[in-house]
Amino acid sequence: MRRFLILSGHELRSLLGSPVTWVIIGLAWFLFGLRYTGSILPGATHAEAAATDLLHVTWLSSLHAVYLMILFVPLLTMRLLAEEKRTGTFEMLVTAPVRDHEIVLAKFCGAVAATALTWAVVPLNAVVIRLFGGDPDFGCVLASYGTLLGIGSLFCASGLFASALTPHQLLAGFIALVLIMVLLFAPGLAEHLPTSWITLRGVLAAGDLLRQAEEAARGLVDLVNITYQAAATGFFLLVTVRVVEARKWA
Amino acid sequence: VGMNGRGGITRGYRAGIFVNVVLICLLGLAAAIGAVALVRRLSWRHDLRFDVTRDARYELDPLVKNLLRGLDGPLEILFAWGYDREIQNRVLDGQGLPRSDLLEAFYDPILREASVRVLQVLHEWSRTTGHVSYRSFRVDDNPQRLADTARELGRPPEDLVNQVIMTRSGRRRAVPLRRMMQDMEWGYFPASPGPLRQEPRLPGAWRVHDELTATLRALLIHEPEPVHVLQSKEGVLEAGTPDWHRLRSLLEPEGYELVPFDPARSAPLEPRRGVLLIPAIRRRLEDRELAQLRAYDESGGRILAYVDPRHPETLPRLFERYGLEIRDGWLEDRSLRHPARRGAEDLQSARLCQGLHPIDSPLRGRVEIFAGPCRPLRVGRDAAPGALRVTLLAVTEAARTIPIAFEPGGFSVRTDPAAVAPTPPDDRAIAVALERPVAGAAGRSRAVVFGGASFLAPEELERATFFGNRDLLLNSLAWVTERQSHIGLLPRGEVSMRIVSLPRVERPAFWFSVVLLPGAATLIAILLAIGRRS
Repeated sequence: MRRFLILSGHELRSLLGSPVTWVIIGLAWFLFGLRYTGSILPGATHAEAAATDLLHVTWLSSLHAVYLMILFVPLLTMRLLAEEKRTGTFEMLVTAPVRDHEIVLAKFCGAVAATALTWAVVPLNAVVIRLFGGDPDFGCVLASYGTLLGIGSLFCASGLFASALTPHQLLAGFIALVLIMVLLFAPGLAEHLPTSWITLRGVLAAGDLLRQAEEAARGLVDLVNITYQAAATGFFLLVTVRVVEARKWA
Repeated sequence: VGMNGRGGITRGYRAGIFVNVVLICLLGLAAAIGAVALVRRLSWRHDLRFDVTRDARYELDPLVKNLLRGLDGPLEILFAWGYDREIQNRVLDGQGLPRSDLLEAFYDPILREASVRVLQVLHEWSRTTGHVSYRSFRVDDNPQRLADTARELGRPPEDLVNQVIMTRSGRRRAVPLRRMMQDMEWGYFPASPGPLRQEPRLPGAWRVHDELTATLRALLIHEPEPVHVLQSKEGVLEAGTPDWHRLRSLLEPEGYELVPFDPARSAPLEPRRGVLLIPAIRRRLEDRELAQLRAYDESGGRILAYVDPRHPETLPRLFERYGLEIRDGWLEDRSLRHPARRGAEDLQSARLCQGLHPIDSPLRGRVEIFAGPCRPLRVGRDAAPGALRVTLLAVTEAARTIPIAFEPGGFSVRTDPAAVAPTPPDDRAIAVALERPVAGAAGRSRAVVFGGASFLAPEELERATFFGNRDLLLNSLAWVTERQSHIGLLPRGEVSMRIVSLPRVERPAFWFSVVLLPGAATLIAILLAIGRRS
């Protein structure tokens, strides 16, 4: 546990100490801010019914955040393991007295912390609205943030897996992008599966991440959604550990 | 073991590692799918969704709690669910028998989800009062129980399936499960494979709470209250018009019956029964008609009146004993109009409700009211002893009044924008609840007067998931007809959202989220880059 904490702390310091990370975070905040203020300016981009509806704003915010994550999570995760391989520090890392799963988990925690920091903008915006006389429902806002963290963790795990596959950062980023797109849009395939595959159809339908974000923004926390996010994240982490282990031997 | 002569691992050993990795990954995938499937299965039987909203909007609303707590006898609810004949007919094979594989694959999950949603509401009801008890069972698993229940209720067994049946004091009301599933595609499977096959899909929206509440309300209303609608031949709510039918379909489930009332032809109204609705009548009432209305009011009548700045109905002397004066003029208030609407005269806000009266206190701050153009109502000092006047809706101190004048003999209105003046504090009410004791009669006269006709516009009443106009109308009717337990806020639909006005926070939100935060991140990046270089 101590080794894991040391590794995680090192990873987090490395991520937050990098100007590239802050440029990525700043760009994400800027684009999100533009979309966010576009949502709340009356009559700017949405129907009049939505213009002054704060819950609607929370909902749109979380959808914007999910869409932005498609781009920004691969940028954050593509260099996690790929860069170690490219610079030759990967061998040093895997021969150090730490286990493979500790390395993977530390990298994952660093990426999730950066994602959590990036999307802390969602509750922060609600606080600003509260300070200036608005009346946000913090239950909905926190549920939305929690779900964004769950979805972000899943994306980070898939990005980490992509990063473990190749020493090339760009290729890792591209694979991560494809994986995230699959995660986002594969649930739509559920109805095309054979009808006898009831369980798989149900699981795929439960994995509709945009619906999960919308439900959370409405103030509903569903244990099925949380289980899906945790199970899919766990699966990608497990696969990543196995890939790192196999690379060590191969 | 597994090492080749060059110090590397052999091809066979490499393949072994690959197989090991693939196997573990497949096991991991199976475990992940299994975990989600298990929790999803559990969610069919237990509600695993948690409501974290501040006002617990997915919980029971105050209206239902009022109704349930007002019960003085047992309310028995039966919910039998399963594959009814209608569903079975969709999956018949060549021999005319329902195919169990299709039923289990497609209709079982839908019915399970529906049953969980219904049972959750019924469970909440039973927790609210000891008078509510419910029974629920699946008919496919309990055919004998279905037969026994059908015998007990004296109805054919197939009539009970997929219905929620409520019984109280010998009265019975049923609501079909299908009505709770909005935009449901039930699908169809022909006996032979072909292009006609269509798989069922879950509903676009669930109306479980709404339908059960409406059925409960209908069950608890013993006799419909007549709503006598004053006819004027030129008004907006004439019998037989589309607006009439729209309003009727909205009021009938709530226990109100629309009845046309023509002062010249109809029999005099009974004072303590029903309510007189005076919509925007678009003409001046004749003295004889006014005298009849005054007589009704004097005898303990109940009136709901809508007057509009665009129409010349001043209803003179009708409300003078309440001390209410209907002023000529057209109100505008820029602080209470919707930002996306151009006209300052179209009032629309969640801040219109004052919350000082049972009619509007459940709505205050929770829903927006669309008031449209309104005329000022003045609550004067000269009123009959014991009269109570409470302002329901009002404009702010920023309001201004545009003087109006009507063309002689017609109802064309002329406004004079040059003569706009600030609205006096006494003229800021746009809806008022009135009550006064009646001489020589038991009880009191009650009236609610609205300063605009748009409150009653069917298109605004039907937008109930967004506006509170429907609640305002129903609460007003409930108050004048003394059905206090029916006052509340009807359940919002799933698309319902809390309305919060945001004009004040636009600029801070922009500066914070577009300038300040990204700027801070950029600054940190620059400082880090400089630090690394130095």
